[in-house]
Amino acid sequence: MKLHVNILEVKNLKIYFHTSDGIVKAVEDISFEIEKGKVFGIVGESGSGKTLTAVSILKLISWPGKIMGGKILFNETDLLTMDEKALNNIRGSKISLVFQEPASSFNPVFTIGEQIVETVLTHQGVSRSKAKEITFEYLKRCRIEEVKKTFYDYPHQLSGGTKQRAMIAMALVNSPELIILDEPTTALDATIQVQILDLLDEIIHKENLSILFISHNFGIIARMCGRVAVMHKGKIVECRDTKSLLINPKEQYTISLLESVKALSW
Amino acid sequence: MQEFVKNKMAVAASLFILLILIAAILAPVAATCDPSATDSRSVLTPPSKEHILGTDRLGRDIFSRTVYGARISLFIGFIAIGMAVLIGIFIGAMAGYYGGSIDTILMRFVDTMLCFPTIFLILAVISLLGPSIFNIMIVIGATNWMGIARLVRAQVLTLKERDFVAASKVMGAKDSWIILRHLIPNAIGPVLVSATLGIGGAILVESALSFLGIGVQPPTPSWGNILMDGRSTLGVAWWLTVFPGLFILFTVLSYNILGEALRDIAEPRLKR
Amino acid sequence: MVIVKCDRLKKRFFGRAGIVKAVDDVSLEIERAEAFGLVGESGCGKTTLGKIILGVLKPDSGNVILGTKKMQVIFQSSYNSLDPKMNISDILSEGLIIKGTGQGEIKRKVEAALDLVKLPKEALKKYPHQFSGGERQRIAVGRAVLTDPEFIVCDEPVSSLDVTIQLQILNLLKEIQKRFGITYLFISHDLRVIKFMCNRLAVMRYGKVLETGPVDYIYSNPSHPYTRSLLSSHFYDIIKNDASLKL
Repeated sequence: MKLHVNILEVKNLKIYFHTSDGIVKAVEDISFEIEKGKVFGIVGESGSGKTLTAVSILKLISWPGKIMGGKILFNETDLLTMDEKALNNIRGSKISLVFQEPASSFNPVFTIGEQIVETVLTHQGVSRSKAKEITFEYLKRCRIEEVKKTFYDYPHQLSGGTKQRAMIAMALVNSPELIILDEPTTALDATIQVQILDLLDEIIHKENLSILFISHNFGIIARMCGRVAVMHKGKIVECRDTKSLLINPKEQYTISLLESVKALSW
Repeated sequence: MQEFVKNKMAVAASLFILLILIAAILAPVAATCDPSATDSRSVLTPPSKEHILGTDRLGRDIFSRTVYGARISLFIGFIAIGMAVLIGIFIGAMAGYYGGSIDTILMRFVDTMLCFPTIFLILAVISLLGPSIFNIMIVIGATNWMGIARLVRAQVLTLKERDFVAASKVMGAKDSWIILRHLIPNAIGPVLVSATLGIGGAILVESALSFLGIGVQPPTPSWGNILMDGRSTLGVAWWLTVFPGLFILFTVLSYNILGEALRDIAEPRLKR
Repeated sequence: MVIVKCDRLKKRFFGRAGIVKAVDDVSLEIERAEAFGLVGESGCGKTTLGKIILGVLKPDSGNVILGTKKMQVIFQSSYNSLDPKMNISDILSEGLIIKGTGQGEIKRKVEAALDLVKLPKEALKKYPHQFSGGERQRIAVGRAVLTDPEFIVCDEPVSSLDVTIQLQILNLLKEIQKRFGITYLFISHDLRVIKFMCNRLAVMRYGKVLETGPVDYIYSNPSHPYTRSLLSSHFYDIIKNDASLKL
């Protein structure tokens, strides 16, 4: 038996944008792997290609963006060669995604409860009442205080923090094997942000989840992830375990990024 | 611009408009004959080498009359819509920028103007003041500015909340500076689209009025009254009505296509 | 010497959810040549207070006593704060034209400002959308400095920028303050930025000022529980030295 099982392996991924001014190489030949039960971080500034990498894993890229090459191996099967139907089975059930903007992640015309129940029904083949039960359980697990009220609320009736908790509940509800968190707290106020990060930290360690954590915030990545890749202009500059990267950054870009973060710390 | 070039219809439309414009400006050169010269020897001749679009019952060359008519029709269209744009921007910018009771009064005035059936308003004014090119321009302009006023007001309402306006205020800018330098230049895109669409409409109204005999008065040719001239002889001389009719059709169509193409280009930029 | 004195300012807004007390009985004093921080989360009224001090908004009651008329402002979203239809030359010279400055002096000052914010001369003919976020914010800084202000309100000037760019802009602002002795009112939700820039600060919540004092003192001895939670909320953001990390 292998000691390390990789849940995700990205190999030589290339994503190009075809614009009227020519081809923009948004992601150029990047490779990394995520070990099962570990938190892997990608840190980078805006335009580094980190979000694009995240959404490409579920092939959620639309024209003019196009995946030009590489492999995305999820449990050793290549997601890029899979057909749409098979991919839909994976999306939301085996791999789930939490976006930055909680406001736009929920459909405004359905209640929070209905939307989570719907994802349970799509992927789990249980009765509606059972699905409702599961939804309540996960909302509670994400430390939402008034579970019942939240269940019947529409997205606009919730605060940003509660909405993001509900979003995390929805990401967890089908017990996915991999969760992609794309800037999950960036749109929130600092005091709410720390609550959500505490919650994520707790859930991740309690349930031994495999996570791809994307953020522009080096501090958050450093505290949440065991391994980290630093992205810059579509390329991975450095990819190592977090501790050695922080203590001993090798590349000039990483060094200057860390210096800026430290200069603004107290 | 690249987007525009890709839109073949829009390119064709602009070329057609350009062609008509050049013809109108260079009418004395472009026209093959004097538009009001009668010729009793060639009355109601069908299109031929000499008269490529034929002649009317007084023997006047239809092509030359249409070219000179383009001058009048386009001139009225441009000036009338130009007027509408100026009124619309002024009223809209005032209402949007100052808000409150000024907004309420101006916008109720817009609503009132929109309640009148335009064509009857025009008929009433023309019968009162008498038909002339000047009166027609004024009356078309005065009945077409309301949409533009609403458009400008909506733009100004969002623009005035933007930080560059606040920054300008902090630097001590007067209201007139803010309106002229910041608000109107940023609101002008959709107004131009609307104006382009409006020119087509104005040409139609002018043609309709001239056709009814209360527009441009003969012997001055306009597309509307050339059309009217041909009405009585429609059975024997189809070219009298078909050619000016086609010119009106294609010109109005071209302005509409151009307006819509401009909107396609202007709108994504607005979103950004 | 006090350059800005706010006395019992109040401002209410009428929203869909009823009356919002955006600024509720705020009094504070800003000393000449200091950088005064105004900290709070979204909706706490800090931007409204800034606009009242600038005179862009009128307070319902209370008043602002200003020791200078030479004020300027730098806003958060540099895209929103620069007129997209103006080129950089027009944007920079706007304040001078409004004041009625002569052509020659405008040209000289615009070039000096461009130099100060470290942008090339070619920038003058370009439009805001042709620049990166950091460059646009440099332009906004240049515009603010051009009119020789004594007091600048900086409303979240770096919050939409990447951290390396943040540091560049903050250092630029510091340099400008040192050179010209400008007073800053620095509005931010980010305690890191306040710590880096300011010597005193006020913490705001629900339109009220909870506490005021020197930055070093408040960061080590926060008296209000909200200030404490705000300070601890930056736990994840900061990397001080490698030993402080819980990994």
